[in-house]
Amino acid sequence: MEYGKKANLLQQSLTHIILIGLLFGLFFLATMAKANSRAVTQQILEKQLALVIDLGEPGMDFYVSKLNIRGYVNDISVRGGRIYAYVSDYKISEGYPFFTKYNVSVETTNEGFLVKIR
Amino acid sequence: MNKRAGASAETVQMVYRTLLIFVIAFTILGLGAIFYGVYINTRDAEARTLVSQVKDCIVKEGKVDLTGEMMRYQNNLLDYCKINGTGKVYVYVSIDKSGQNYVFQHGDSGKTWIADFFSKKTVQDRLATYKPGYAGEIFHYPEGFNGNSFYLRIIVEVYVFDDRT
Repeated sequence: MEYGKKANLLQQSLTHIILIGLLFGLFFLATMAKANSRAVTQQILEKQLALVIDLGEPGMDFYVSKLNIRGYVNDISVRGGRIYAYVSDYKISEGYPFFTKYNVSVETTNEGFLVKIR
Repeated sequence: MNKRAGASAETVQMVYRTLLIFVIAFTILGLGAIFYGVYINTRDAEARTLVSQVKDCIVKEGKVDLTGEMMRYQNNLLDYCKINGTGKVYVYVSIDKSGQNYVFQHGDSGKTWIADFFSKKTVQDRLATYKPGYAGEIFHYPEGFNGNSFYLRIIVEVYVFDDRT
């Protein structure tokens, strides 16, 4: 009798632990997926480029390869004081504003993008 | 008989509890997926960069010319500096030179908390306060220029707004 009760309690506890583990894994995977999503990698790339432009001096060029660690870069463009980067076929971008007193342009090459500050 | 009934009732209750837990978990997950966004904050770095750029624009070889063109840009200083893309910043510059104080600004100071932050706190308090997107620095030029002992103090403060608001 006593043994049966204990076994039942153990079974219940084990089920709860497995359930908690499953839910934790689910939340963890969901957070990972969100943190590594294309929108986030695109945001990181745009902000990195904006910071480099903020600090840029005239005559400075920097190159962004299409095969980037953040994913395949489809396009980089500058419009209205904002830099737009499109990563891994993600087609939505609000761009990120930068401030500079110089002219910034982007030249597309076969293997990447050349950002020029003049 | 009673024992069996009790056991099956317990099983039903457990299935019900498990389902309830999953429903709650998926609701939280769904709401998180819709409303939670990962935001990479670079505003502090941008503010510090702009402080340095504004100082370099105002001070040329240790001198500040407060008689020339700059005085026409007291409310849009960054236009004088020809710095573009500044719709999301508020810049406040205070220059103490030869006992006189000159104030230059740029951007929207109409937001209540900005007005409070800049009017109710002293510079020292503001500089000691951490606010995301805020940076400020005090520059001293005690030697003045041309051998005269002018005292020059420049305070540059920048607040970069959150681009999501």
